Amino acid sequence: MDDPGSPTPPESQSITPDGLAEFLAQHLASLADVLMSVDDNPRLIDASLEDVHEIAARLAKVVKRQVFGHPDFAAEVLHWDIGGMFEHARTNESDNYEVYADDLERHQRRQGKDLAVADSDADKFAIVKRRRAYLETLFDLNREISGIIDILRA
Amino acid sequence: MTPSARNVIPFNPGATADDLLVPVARLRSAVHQLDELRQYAERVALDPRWSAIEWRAICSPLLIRLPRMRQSLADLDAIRLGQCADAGWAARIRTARSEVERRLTGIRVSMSALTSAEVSSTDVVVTVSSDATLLATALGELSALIASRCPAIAHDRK
Repeated sequence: MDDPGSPTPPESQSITPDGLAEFLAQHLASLADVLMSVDDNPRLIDASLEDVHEIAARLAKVVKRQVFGHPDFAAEVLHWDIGGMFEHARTNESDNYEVYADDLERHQRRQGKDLAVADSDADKFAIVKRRRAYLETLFDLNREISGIIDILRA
Repeated sequence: MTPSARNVIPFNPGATADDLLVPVARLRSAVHQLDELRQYAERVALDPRWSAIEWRAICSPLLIRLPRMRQSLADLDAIRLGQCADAGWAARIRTARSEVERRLTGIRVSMSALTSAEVSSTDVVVTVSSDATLLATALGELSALIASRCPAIAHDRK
């Protein structure tokens, strides 16, 4: 998928904390849009799972590079011990995506084979749990990055 | 609705050509095909037949339109989360598109079972009828969703 926004802010070495916060907030808006769009009907995420993961992974990459890769900003956010929580949220999103995507693919294959209702219901229940767990990781990531933006703006 | 009210095209400030990600002409063509296929699917659902020859006659118009339908669905693949200004619409379009694909596969399988037998069993007829109903619903939902963001297309459908 093409990257619709630039992952690197202009003149990243001379950018101010406010400028970086603004840049991250723009990227975070994509994730917030996704979370809002599936809020009423979480099943909508199934057909867009790859895109959602792409948005989350790209955002996490931007934060890692622009905040934790920048000597001044890294010191600022590390002071608040937020690096570990961000890294945890990032890996959680990635791990849960992998499991959810695998289960979803298996479920769709089994659905195509027209399984008995009991098997199909068991599959559906597993998907519901995976979906819920994955959405929680997206909310966590969103929260952690919002916290980093708040620190940069302070 | 009065004749003058019917001529009014609803203003949708969010949907510019760039927002839609697919040229309006292609969206219009997709909606046309979705609506056409839905009519054939409804016909299959509402008019169950019992001999293979009769089934072939009623299923053929639907089956010959499937390749073009697949092409239109492929065109809609450009509508993605992260690319579209309206994430909610993009998510709903992708879900509805995925549902149509699933229902198309279902109807193909049930129709091939049906047309290969000389006389149709009750179970098979019920399955085809049910699959056709589900397909018609999925086609209608996708078509309505596309039209909801594109006033000119919505106007054409009336």
